Amino acid sequence: MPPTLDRFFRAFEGTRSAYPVAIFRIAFFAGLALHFFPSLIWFDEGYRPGALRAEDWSEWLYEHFWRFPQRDLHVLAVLTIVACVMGIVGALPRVAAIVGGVGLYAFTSFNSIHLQTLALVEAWAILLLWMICGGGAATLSVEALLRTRKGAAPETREPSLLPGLVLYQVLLAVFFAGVEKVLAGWPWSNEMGIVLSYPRGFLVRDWVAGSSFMHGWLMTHFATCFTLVAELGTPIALLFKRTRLVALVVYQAFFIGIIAMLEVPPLFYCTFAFGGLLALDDEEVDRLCARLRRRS
Amino acid sequence: MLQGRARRVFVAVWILLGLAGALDHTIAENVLGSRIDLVLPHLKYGYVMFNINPRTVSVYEYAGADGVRHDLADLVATPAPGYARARVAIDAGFQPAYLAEICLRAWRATHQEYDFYVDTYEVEPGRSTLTNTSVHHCSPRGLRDAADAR
Repeated sequence: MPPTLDRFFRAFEGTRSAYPVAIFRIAFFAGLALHFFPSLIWFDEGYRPGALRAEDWSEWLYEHFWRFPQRDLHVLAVLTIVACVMGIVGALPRVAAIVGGVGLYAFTSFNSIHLQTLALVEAWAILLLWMICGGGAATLSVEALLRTRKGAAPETREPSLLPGLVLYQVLLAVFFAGVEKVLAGWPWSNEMGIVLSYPRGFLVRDWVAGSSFMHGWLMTHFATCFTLVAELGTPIALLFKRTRLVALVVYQAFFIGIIAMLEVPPLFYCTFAFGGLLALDDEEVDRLCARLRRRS
Repeated sequence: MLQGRARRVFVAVWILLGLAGALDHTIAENVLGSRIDLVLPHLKYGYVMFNINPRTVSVYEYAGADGVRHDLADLVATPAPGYARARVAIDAGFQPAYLAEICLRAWRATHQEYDFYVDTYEVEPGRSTLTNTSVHHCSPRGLRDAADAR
């Protein structure tokens, strides 16, 4: 095999520190819980016979929704909730992804009206990866707790396949979100001037709607440029050790900025902000852990 | 689970599919004249975050008997932590029947009548201007234009 090819695949082979993927697992499944549990718990709002529905995903499931007995749907909702909780606590995460993924996809196909379509694109990709690759529970999990209770040495390594592909998926989405903006004419328009000028009650948080500084020429142009730099630059800069830490700071600031200024689902932040942490290599994770230990 | 060559094939296929999904949404329509159905759900909508933003937007509020306006999202039983108003605005924008659904649920839950206010704004960089307000009356007979209802 040519060495360049070996170098390319190295990010997806062997093992790596278990902490970044464990933190991502907790954040991602918690994001799914925050996004879906309201619809599954307030079940009748979206899934009772006669409820207003919207179709965005599987046409077949949408059309055949009425044929599923309500009792079976309630059971599927409970199983889906249990699977998400299993993902958060790190108990059989592959089973959690399979049961949770099937359940969430089915319910979103039955009725997507409360579930914000674009927040879910990455979730389907990551759940599918988790179903195929498994893993993510070597540490910060019930499985790890049970292992150490039995006297086994704690595991600190995970196969690189899942975190490598999740990172690819997240960075691909961020990069192409930037490409879409360039194609939509962003560099030559003040598009963030539109977003930040929305009235109270539409997309922006109240403090943004009430702040004249946030609507000013300087701030809105800065936000437009920063968005393009963050989306087009950080996915590439995160791949190189020399630029990684600076890129990670910019990347995190970008997503904190989004969640602070705009009303977007927490799942969006959980997926993208925590997905970026998977770029850290073993040495950087060790350095970060040592610093955290020193502080505590 | 996946070992050696099989793992590399899987990684290569996943990476290429992701790229195909992104290009399908960005350039396929211009180059090929139409988009390709890549079957997998995460490849259906491309990767879009606020690239094109509406210049005309609506804000939804309601008032009960006391006449004080509140966010219409407060009437929706299904919580949406941190984005309730945005969810209502987007759902109502894409599904006009959604307002009637909120009315129906609110009536069933509280047995009170409400006025729903839809404020329409024109937005340009630096300012949003209120251009129209429509009022709908929510009662046991459904959601109707407030002037007709009275």
